[in-house]
Amino acid sequence: MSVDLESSDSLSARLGFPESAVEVGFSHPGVRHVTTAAGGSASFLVHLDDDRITDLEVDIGFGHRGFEFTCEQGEWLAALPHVSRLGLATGVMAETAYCLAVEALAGLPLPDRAIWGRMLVNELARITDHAARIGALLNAIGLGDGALVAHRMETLGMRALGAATGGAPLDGYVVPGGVRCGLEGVLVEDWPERRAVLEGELAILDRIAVKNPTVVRRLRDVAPLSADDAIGWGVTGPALRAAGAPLDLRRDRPYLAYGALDFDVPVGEHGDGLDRLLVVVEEIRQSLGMVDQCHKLLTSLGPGELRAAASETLHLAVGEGVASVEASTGELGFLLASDGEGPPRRVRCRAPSFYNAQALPAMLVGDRLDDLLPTVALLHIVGPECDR
Amino acid sequence: MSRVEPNSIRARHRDLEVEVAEPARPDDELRIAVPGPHAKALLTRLVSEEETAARRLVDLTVIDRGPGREDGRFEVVYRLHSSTHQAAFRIHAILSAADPSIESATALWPGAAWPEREAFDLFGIHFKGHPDLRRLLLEPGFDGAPLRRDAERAEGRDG
Repeated sequence: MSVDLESSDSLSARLGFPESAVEVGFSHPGVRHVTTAAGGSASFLVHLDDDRITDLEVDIGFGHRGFEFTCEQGEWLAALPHVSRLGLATGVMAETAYCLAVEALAGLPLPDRAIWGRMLVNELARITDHAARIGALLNAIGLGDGALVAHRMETLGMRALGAATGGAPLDGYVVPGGVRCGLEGVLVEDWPERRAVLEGELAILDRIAVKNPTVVRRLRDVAPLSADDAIGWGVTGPALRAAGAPLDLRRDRPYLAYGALDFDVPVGEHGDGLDRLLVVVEEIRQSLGMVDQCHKLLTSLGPGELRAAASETLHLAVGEGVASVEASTGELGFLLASDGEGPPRRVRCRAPSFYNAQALPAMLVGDRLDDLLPTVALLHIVGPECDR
Repeated sequence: MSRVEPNSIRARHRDLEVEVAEPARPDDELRIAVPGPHAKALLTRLVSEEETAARRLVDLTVIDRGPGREDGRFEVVYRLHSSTHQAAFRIHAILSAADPSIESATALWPGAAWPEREAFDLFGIHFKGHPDLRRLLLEPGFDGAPLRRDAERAEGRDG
């Protein structure tokens, strides 16, 4: 067979191969690893010319638990365990959004300890979840030692979360009208120690992974997305901020007491994989600072009221309650419709992974097959969030 | 932080028969009800006019008010956010049980594609002009719209 080496066509075209399509997932080992909480419940049909992605079809819905349907069957409180299971460490963020929406309908005021306790666990969860996505990323690009450090950090974060909530993950810490326990357990005394260890791990990660030339080369200019496109596709969270849009609900539409916290919102320039990684790493640093502030305030408040007295029996208004929180993957919100009495009329979850997954073709067409899993890992597409 | 006044919305979009609820707190999401056929025009204005500049579609979903409600059975709900004004809007487009269809918002936001497919999949709402309206979560041969209030439910499960 004669091959025209001067041609600008791809090697496949020159060798006479047609374009090919490869199915990745839904239980591909790589996918299983990058969609950790999902156990691999997304599938990708990748159309290729050589290893260049010409088209990408994202298929979701393999977990199909009927999450919203199930929440609409029982009482308002009965939905909470399902809400927690939208993610692992991020379960508390989903609980926070759901409870804020219920509280809006019930007109429940929150005690100070509950407000600051919720912010503390939300930021701990962000640290843990960000560490998890860095670990998944480093696994996907074959940097095993970096991944080990990141997963160690994830474990430490999860333990700190457990110390604050009484047992992470899936702890049911956030409840309508307050939180289930105070910090008098363990975290009050040993947070400074835990923080120092987390900081040490982050410094190692920074040195061996984030500043690693291999990682930089694998991520620079990969899967880029402009700020306008990101907004158009509904992308939120670190991926949107990496594209240069400084949108963070904690600062823009402050819920709980985020308006009283001192923190920066890191923003990228190019919207590529590298910017996403840098934003995520900086967000871990900012969250460590925010946990410090919450811990300090909670320590000074001491033990006391954790839950509004009126929250034992919920009396919900007729109408809709909405709330959104800035979860680690983006905007996580609930729209609840209430008929006053009885089970919810509607429980709708605005899940960041659902919208972020939708934008994957816009990011990845033109990149290489090898860029698919690192991109999915860094966006942290969580299967249960994509399902309904 | 600037806000968008409910009265200005009422005045500007009176021709679209909007009903704006008075927000309980000033920075609450502004609830705007609109007849289904006018929804696309309202969304287009809210996005493009500087007074609202609601450029981000936060979420799109459906509320089923129940089989007893012929006229206003389905509400297609659009949640919008404006970074310029730090304001949030929630548009309830009212559809009748007899004609559960509405114009697609994919021309305004490409990201409306999946939530509209999901609403088609689970509620059986038809989005006119959607480039690729097919099931998103359920298998292609599935019969029915499982999140509708009168959907048939399997024996022995909570009804």
